[in-house]
Amino acid sequence: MSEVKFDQKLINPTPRKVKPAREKFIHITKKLDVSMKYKVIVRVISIVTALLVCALILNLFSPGHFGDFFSGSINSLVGSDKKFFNSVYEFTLLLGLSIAVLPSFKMKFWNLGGEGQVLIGGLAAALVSRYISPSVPNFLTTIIMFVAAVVAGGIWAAIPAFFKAKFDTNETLFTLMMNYIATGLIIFFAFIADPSHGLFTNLKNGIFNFSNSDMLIIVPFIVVVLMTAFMFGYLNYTKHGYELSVVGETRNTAKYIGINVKGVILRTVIISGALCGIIGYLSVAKQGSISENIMSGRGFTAVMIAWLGHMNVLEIVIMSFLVAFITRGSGQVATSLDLGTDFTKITIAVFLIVILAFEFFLNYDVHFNKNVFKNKKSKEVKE
Amino acid sequence: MFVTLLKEALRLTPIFLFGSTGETLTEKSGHLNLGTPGILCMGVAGGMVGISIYDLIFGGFPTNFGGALALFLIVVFMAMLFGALSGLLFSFFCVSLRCNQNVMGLAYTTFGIGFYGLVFNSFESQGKGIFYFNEFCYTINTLFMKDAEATNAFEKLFLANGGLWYMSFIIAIVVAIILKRTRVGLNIRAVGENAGSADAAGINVSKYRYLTTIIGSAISALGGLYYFVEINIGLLEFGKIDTYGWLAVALVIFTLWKTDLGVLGAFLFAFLFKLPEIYGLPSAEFNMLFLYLPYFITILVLLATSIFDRKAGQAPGNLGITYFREER
Repeated sequence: MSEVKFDQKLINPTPRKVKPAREKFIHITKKLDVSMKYKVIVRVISIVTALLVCALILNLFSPGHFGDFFSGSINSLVGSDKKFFNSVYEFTLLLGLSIAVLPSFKMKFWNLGGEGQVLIGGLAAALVSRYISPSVPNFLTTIIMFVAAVVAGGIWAAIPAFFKAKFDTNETLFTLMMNYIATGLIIFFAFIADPSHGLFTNLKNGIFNFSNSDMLIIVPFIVVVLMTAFMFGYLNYTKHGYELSVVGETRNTAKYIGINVKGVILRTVIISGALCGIIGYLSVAKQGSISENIMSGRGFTAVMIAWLGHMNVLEIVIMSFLVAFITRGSGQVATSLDLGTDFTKITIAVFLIVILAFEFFLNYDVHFNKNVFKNKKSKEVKE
Repeated sequence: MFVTLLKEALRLTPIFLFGSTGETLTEKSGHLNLGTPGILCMGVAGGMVGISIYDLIFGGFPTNFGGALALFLIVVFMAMLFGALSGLLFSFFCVSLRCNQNVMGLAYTTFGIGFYGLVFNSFESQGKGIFYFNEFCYTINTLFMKDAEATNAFEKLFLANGGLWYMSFIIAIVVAIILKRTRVGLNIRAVGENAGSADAAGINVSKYRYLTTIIGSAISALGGLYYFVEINIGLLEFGKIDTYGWLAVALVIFTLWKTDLGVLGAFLFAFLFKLPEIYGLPSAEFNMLFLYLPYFITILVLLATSIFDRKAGQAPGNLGITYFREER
């Protein structure tokens, strides 16, 4: 047998120089289970930090007013009856909107169109109030307005939901665009109702008319509390609630256990839109007017509240209360210190961003790998 | 009349173009940055700060070409810096802290609108009111203009513009070439389509997402600066700029995530925006409705791309999804 000659180079080629993978100092892993106690502690720390940061920002723009943020906020809450009721109304709107968008979020349907659905619901109610004959009894007008608002909000939400279910159209961008079309429609109808100014005001039929003006706020508040209770039950104790949370977790699991995914998407988002329509109705019935900025960006704030409230009704109530508190408080402080009306937007955003940052500690564990430094030292010694 | 319309539309185009170019670059790497309207506002704030810095250093309006150029560069730098810082914040939250992109974007938009109002307010309380910026902005605009008194239509349309106007088109084309033709562009697209595969192929996902978001935000911020300097010439008209921002986000979808198509798309949006203003439709209410046509067209495009389900016109596969390597 002839000796087989191996080319030594082929068997053992000169090794390619590969950079050894560097060990990282910070290592992040997903948290698997979080105890209730830990959650509450992180939450409380995050809220306190967020409030302090807001106060710091106020201090930055008008030095020496660090404490005014807190005193002003509390004053705006309980300073007088009028202030208290205005704060309650702010809370009502935020809570109502967050609760309304909640089911679609729980299904992981990014409904950024809450504001548009409110506007369309309000527009439908306003149109009924404007063009219905005054001879119709008031309670009937009220009912028709309410139904019109619910239906309009539902339909407005159903359009993106239908295309999401059927063609998997990106709902984030779709619902976002629908907001602006709703804005356009309101301006359009305002010009039809009042060609000279384009203001949709002075509605009379079916508008809340109480001798005691505080009732204007109490009625929406009661409606929103009922909505909240309904949503709590709906999400936690009904088959619908179960189905939509499965669809939210994984589409395929839902399909295989026999859930009609498309139907669930459509149904849930329509409920979301209908609830938004109710908020629109309440807003129109309280003020007797509608304009494109009745919500002034609260639709987006509600999205953030629902997300940061972990889709949990109780947490959403707390978050809405805090955001309402900050909105009213920083508004009052900014007015008294002459910082302009936009200061509120900064405090809300900063508050939510800080809380968002603390979400990290709920979801992830951070490990510091001290060996990184030890290895370096040992190498140096060898060399 | 038609030349006037074209001129006005071309004048408005760069706001959309800057915004959508920056946003496209960001979205190609998988970040849906809904903070773009806020970043446009930050661009305006950066412009205001830049002008006041120039005023602080040199004391007064620039008188010669060198001074004007310095002013232009400082203002552009400050706007881009504000934009880049916004992008850095966004990517720190969404890459490093793995926060939800939609929530962060919306919060940042709220923040940007508020910040811009607050900065303006603090200038006003220093006695530098609405007219303070006017002269400075005028100087910036005339810097690269061939002749303010243009005679024929071509000169009116294409040569009587400020430096930022030309920049918007150049940047859009350059970004398109980078995304389409270079290795870096391929890597960006890979990260946006499937971050997991890109990571397995040895592409540093975090690095690309940080870079595209920061650079994209810096570009978007120029849109706000353009609006402030060249369209409003230093006057502030509150509550408009974030509307333009949302239209820029819409434009990204409309142009199917291609910045070279963005040049045409931005012009079309601007054209539709200006059409009722220049010609005037028969009645005011239809005029108003017409302004919202770009949103409607965007929805139609969104529908068309999803119904026909062509690979080429789809959103990046991992758009809006935060990447965590250890997640299955």
